[in-house]
Amino acid sequence: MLPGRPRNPRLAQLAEQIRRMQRRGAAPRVASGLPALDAALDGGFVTAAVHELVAAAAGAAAHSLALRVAARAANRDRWVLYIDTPQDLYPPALAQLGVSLARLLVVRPWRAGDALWVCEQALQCRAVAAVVLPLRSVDALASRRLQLAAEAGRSLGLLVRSDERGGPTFAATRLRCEPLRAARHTRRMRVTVLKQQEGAPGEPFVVEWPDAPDSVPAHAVPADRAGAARRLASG
Amino acid sequence: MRRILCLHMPYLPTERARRDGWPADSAAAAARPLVLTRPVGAAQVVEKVCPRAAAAGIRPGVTLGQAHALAPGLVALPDDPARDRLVLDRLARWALRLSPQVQAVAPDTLLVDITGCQLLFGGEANIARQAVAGLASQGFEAYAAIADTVGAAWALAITSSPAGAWNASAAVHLAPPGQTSAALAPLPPRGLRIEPHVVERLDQLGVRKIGDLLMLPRAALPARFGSQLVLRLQQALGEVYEGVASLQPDEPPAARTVFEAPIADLRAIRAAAEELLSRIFAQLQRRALALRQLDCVLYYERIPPRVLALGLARASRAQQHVARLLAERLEQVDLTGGQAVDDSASAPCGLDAGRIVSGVQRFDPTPGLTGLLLVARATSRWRPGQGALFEPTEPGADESLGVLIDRLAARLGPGAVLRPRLVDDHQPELAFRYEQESAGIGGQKESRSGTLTRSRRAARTDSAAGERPATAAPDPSQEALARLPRPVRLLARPVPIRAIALVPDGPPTWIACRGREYPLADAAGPERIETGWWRGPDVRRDYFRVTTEQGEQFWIFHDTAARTWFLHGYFA
Repeated sequence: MLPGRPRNPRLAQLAEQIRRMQRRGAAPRVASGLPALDAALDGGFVTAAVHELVAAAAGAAAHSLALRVAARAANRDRWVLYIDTPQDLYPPALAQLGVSLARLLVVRPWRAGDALWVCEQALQCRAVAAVVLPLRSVDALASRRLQLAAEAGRSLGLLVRSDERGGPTFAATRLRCEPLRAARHTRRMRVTVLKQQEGAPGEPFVVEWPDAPDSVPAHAVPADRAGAARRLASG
Repeated sequence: MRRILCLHMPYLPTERARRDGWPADSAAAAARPLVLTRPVGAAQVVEKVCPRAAAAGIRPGVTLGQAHALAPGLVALPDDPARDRLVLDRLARWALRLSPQVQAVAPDTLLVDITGCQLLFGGEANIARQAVAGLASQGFEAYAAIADTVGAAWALAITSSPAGAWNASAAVHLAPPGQTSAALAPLPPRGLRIEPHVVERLDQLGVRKIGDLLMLPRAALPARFGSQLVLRLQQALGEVYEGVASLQPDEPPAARTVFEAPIADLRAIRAAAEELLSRIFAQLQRRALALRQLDCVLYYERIPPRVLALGLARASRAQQHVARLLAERLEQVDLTGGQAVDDSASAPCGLDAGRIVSGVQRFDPTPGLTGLLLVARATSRWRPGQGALFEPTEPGADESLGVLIDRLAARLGPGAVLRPRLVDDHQPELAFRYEQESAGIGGQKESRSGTLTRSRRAARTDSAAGERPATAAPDPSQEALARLPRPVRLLARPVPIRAIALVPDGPPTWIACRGREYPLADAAGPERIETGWWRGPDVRRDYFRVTTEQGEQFWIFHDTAARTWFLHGYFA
């Protein structure tokens, strides 16, 4: 053993744990481009972590939000991976959300267990910026594995859950998304931060964005509040 | 004038087996009839017969027991098409001494373009004679024919080889230059490389010779016999060009092992496979190649060999990566001799794979693999990247994506890893397609996403009042697309729902789907989508994007022909 290193394996383990936590603190954040959400999340979604979006209603815009964030996480040379277990993703809509189809992989596993395996493998891969996985629920063990994989690959895991029930998980944040009636060509949802790594869960707040024409590739736009506001006003 | 030599070796499989499975010294054994068998269930079925066995009356398709009854001294060996293919490739390389243009056509034929080579051999008949003699000295009986076209040479060679009778004389057939149709006329149509059922139909109509066929009006043939017949006829007559593909000069790197006794233990097989793999990679290294597809052939005692094809998304030299993929595939295969547990992506969700396997295993008393063959089926030139001097090189972003794709495809099947492409079609469920992202392509398929579907709108867009102009969109096709609302999730099959609309054909105010009722707050539309009558089932739909009182958004449509409402997608 090298001198200067702690001899106690338990101590070494704790030191490694602290180092890992410090690394996570330094991880960059991906802004969603939605001011209220970014403010509540202290700047955006932390990379190298797994986030959960809980939406019980099928017609809420949770998938759209996840894909929006994934598109912003991917820059020109990294990929977005969508795990399409229900086999109903509609790619033409993704182009409207700003996801570059040239940098999108769709994986269609047949079994739920395979979906989690695919997610873990993809999160570990350096070429993948974000993985979007719709699923019903996730248990603590699977969540831990996904979190470690995201740390290894410095990637962003976005789980879109349809069922809020279930035990605690290792996700960095968990958001509840509830649909709200909106004017035409906008999407609105009430977001509640159920869990956050730093800071307490907050009050529900309203997020609104214009629906389709994010025609400029999302990653080319900085967190552009003025532009979003202008688009809202014009709609 | 092109001249093509066709060498047909009708008994190649049995002759190959005789050479492989048998020490040549026992002359008595060499004179015994030989059949190659394929296990079908518990029985062994004769697949290929040698001339002596054929003379004894044994035909492919009878069981081994019946064959033994017909020919007492019979020898039976397992059929092995993969080995036949390797031997044929080797013979094709041997034939390069005749001409630089040689093509091996599985299972038993070589095509040689001998245009201009006649002078070197003293006449084309000499080339053919040398070829037949050379193949005979290697133990293969060949029938040769020379003609102006591939099709004609093929027809002459195939029809000259006696079906059953064994005579090595008169093994060369020549069609003099320019007399192709005269040479073809007396031959039976089966020489034309057409489907057996077409031959049968021609025979029923009394067309027993190609000459008879030539007299029929050509324009009427495709409707009765399919377009292939006319194409083959034109190719044989030289009206349509058909070339001899040049041979890939090197045989693919391959490694093979035979086990002493059948093995079903995954660890032992994996160890053997890794040993073979390191031999393959040593060959790749020597020849500066990178692997793109690996075929792993599993030999069983009782059932035909299985081929596991392992395609790589990117050409690779990483042996560990390939070893891991191979191990992944081997885990999914039932090594005891049943079917693969997870052979293809077509297995529906929740299928009880174990039950199927046990059903197959019923008649398999001695389980296990008897041998293993690895072939680097597709390779490409290795272009090494620049390595770093001091640090261990980290694989580039793209390469590591290739590794990921390979791993996913190895476990889930190649049909599960997909790249979406937009298709210019205004029927929503046809506006995109998936391409498989595996087996050696990819990387070059970028830059298409900019050209998005220009969705043609079949008819009116009544919602113009509520439609706002798209914000500054640089690309007009983007603009067109952006104005059409599309849901993130589209149901593969629209779900019938109940709906109430105040006006017939107007926007609905209330819907009930999947056991729940939704009063609607808003319905944007209609967007009418119609397809042309020439596309089969008529599609006439009015799409609405509806918002429920709770704020959920659905994509529903009114089938104006059937007067029913359907849920088609979720703005999820």
